[in-house]
Amino acid sequence: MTYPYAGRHTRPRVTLIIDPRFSGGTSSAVAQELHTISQHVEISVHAVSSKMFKGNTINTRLQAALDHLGIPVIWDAPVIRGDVVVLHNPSFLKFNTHFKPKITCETLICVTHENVLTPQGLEGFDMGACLDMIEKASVCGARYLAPVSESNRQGVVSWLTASSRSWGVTPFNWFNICDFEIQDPTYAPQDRRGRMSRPGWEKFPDMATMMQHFPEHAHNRIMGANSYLETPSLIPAHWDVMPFGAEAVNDFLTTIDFFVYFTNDRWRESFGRVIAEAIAAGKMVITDVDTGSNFAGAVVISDRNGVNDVINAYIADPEAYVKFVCQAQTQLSRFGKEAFLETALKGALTLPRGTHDIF
Amino acid sequence: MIFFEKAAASTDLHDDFVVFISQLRGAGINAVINKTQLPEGMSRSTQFDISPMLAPRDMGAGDHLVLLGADKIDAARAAAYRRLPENSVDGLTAIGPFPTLQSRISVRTRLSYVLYADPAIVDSSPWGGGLPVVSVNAGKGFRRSERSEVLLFSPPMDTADERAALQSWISTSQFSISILTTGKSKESWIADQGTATRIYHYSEMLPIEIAPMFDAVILFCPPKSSYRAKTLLANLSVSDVILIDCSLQHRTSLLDKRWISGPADVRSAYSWFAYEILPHAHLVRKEMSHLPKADVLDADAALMMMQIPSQRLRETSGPAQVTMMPTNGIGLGHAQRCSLVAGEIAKHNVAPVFAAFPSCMRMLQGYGFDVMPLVSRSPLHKQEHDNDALNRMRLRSLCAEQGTFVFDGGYVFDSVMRTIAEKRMRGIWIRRGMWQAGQSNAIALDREKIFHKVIVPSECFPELNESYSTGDHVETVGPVVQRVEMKSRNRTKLRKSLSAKFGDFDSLVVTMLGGGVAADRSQQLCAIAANLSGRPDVLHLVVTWPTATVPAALYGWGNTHVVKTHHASALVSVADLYISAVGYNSFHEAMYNKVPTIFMAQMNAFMDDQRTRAMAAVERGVADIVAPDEMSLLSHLITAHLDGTRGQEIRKAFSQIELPETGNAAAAKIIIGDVSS
Repeated sequence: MTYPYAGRHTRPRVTLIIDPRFSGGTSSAVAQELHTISQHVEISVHAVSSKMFKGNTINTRLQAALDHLGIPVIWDAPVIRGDVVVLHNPSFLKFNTHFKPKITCETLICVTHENVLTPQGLEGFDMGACLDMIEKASVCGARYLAPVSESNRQGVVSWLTASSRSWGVTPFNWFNICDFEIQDPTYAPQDRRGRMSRPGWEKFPDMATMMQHFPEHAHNRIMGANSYLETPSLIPAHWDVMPFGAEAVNDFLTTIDFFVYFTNDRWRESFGRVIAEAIAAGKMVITDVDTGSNFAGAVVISDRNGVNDVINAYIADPEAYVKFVCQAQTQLSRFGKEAFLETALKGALTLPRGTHDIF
Repeated sequence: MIFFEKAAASTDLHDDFVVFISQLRGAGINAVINKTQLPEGMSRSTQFDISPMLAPRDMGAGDHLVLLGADKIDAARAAAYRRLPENSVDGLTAIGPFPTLQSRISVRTRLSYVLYADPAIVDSSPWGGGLPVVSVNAGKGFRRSERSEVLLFSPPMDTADERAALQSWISTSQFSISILTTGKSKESWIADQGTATRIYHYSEMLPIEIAPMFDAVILFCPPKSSYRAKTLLANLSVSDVILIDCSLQHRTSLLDKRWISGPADVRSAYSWFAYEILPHAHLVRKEMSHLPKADVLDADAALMMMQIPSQRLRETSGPAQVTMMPTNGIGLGHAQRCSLVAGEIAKHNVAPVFAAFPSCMRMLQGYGFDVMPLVSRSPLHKQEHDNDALNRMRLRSLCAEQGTFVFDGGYVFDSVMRTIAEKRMRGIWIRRGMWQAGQSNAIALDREKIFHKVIVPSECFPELNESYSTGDHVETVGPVVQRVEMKSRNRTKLRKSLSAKFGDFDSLVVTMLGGGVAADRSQQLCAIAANLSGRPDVLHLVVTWPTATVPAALYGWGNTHVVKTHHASALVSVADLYISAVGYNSFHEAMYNKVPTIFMAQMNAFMDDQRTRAMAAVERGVADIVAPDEMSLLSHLITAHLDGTRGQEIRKAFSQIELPETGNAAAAKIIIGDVSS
């Protein structure tokens, strides 16, 4: 692979800027990204301590990846340089009033891990303020926003159009690399349902929907239910609920056959890494049309009322269940390492270099 | 309804919260507080503030939820909202310090995840993160007299010199003065100066209740941080009150041209106000009417700011125009006195409605009055005034806005005070005298300020009358007493019916020594029964209220019978000998019905001075007295009455004294006069 950057370095310099203390999927995605791209570029990792994750410690998966690759983390450096600087998740600046480091690069890419707009079209966070801080802190040839999925892209484009900012949008998605071990589905699916997520209320639909999706006649396991656990008396007896991280993801997934994943109506997954994990583990994923759009053909789309019918139908037809899950697993290659190198990394290194700022 | 809630239990501002909602309610807006929102350890005053604001039902469709301090919404509250049924609210407003877009987005998203609705966001940063001061013009309340009511707002009064300076204000007869100050200053003033001056502390009542009482306000020290005091000032500023700023820096008058700057020195301020302002009050008011009212947020603007559609309070039923509330006291004396006055009022085509404790209900209903039950104190209540907080709710439902409230009792309950103030009612206190010497009356008399009239039913003997307060609002009437003017034919008929029921008799002895609450009289009653048991020609009736406890030992005597009745007066009037305690009612019934009586006083510390009252009659030769332990004297006196001529002597003495006209009708006239004025 050859890249347009030349000079003292034989390989292009790619610098990642992250707040590595995020507990959810973004950190796992960045860990996977480091494994994937470190063999192809000169990589450096800059950590920024934002107000958003104050008090948290560095994500364990991310720390393991950094240790494994021998990449040091540089905390709160006054100057950050690179040919391409990739800032993951600009929303980590949403509670900050200023962004200290000075960024110098040819191309600055901000990966929008968090949806900019809600399903109702309202702002999900103050993207404008975050970008203002980044703009003030950076001197670069071009600035881009990189969506993580097609659904995420729609919000980014709409917001950018409305805000009239001079940021480009990458033609490719900076998706989460889904390089999970593929496991065979069961040949005798039972009504064993589950879901896992971080604990926030945005991850859960209303109680009536939850009761419908996890009914008395099913075996139900819910991980990440910290909010429910605060009032145990209100947890239905037929739910096995546990806090976020109570079990290893794979261990949890081995206990279910159907991954029923609907979120709050006022919030949507920007990518849905957890869905890819469930598919890789050989589970059938049932979700809504918006969340499922990033995994078209790999998940069963249902409205909120149809979940029980879907499950009953597939329990009655194990062959169809196995066929669907296996097909879904082949679809995951869209989010594999090779695809990432070919589309995201190559795309990033070949983006037109503009003249936003004068060097 | 508009439900106001605090987003987190830890949110401070509780008093501000209550005052804010009271203002909206004062403007006729249906603002309520969820019962689940009551914090532990509220002060007594706050409890009475808050009780009318409590939501009568759960939140539901059509309601609007306003979340105060929404920046601090805690996990418990979020979880509670999430458990609400779908469509529990129609509208949602979040108030808190949200100066940045991100802070507004954060609260919107957090609330939308649990309430499934996007709230309107109101940034409270301009008001220091709390609540905006809302002004309400609550109009004008009733006045005791034609004289202007003047409020001295935070005058200096902590030192002897400062108190002396206030004397010119207090001693004037040109206008009536009230003082608004801190709780500490009030306490210290009463300890030093007594209760003659009407004095309020800031938290005593809500601003919406205080403002309508006054025609002019003299501001000596503007509030710095107290939301309550600022709200009161805002209410005064938008009302038609003469506004005088006598503070040192005159900041209020600089900001609002309707305020007139006056001298900061308390003595000079008096002369200036009395001679420069008051004589020209009409001109001042005229001038003020041309000036724009203070630029303070009114309730409608506050609703608009919170993006809440206006929802007005609705009256649920036709409330009572004249409400009478007797305290239950020891016996039913207050209720009986009230019923006598109510009977006179009813003659004027005004139907008074009673609010009464259960012990009085049957009697009042028996007289034909509608009665709303009040809740009695109970050791089962968590706080001793819990019942009164509930009674406040009942009274405010019962009473009409600007109606008349008649209270008969010694201790003015918070519920009475608050209802009169909130409903801007004409408060009338029927207050009998004869308080015991040494009894502390400071609290009772401090609360006199809420009443527009004090009706004092006098004692029939002039030396027994003592004035506890003065002023043209205090009106003394003759004794309120049931006078049984029974014709001889009816008297014979009643005695015959008693013969038919209990057997023939020549002499009737009626004993009424009380219900056993103030003092245990079972031994005395048995002694009388034993004494009379040897007299087969005597019928002895022990008469009690139906609620009284009767000692079992009384039932074993042949010619002694227990009669539980609300209609004791008729029996007393036909008795040959009456043995009685010396409560106001029984004493005056004995006097006015000219019944030969042996009094046995009850001298409990919380009661009236019965011994002194009895002695006034004894000294005139119209009654005898025995101490409760003088059983042999009692026996001797009974013999003197039944076998000797003592009864005749007393009847003769009665014919030689003149008793004043009873005050039943006069009291009613004062009440009716107020209704019709």
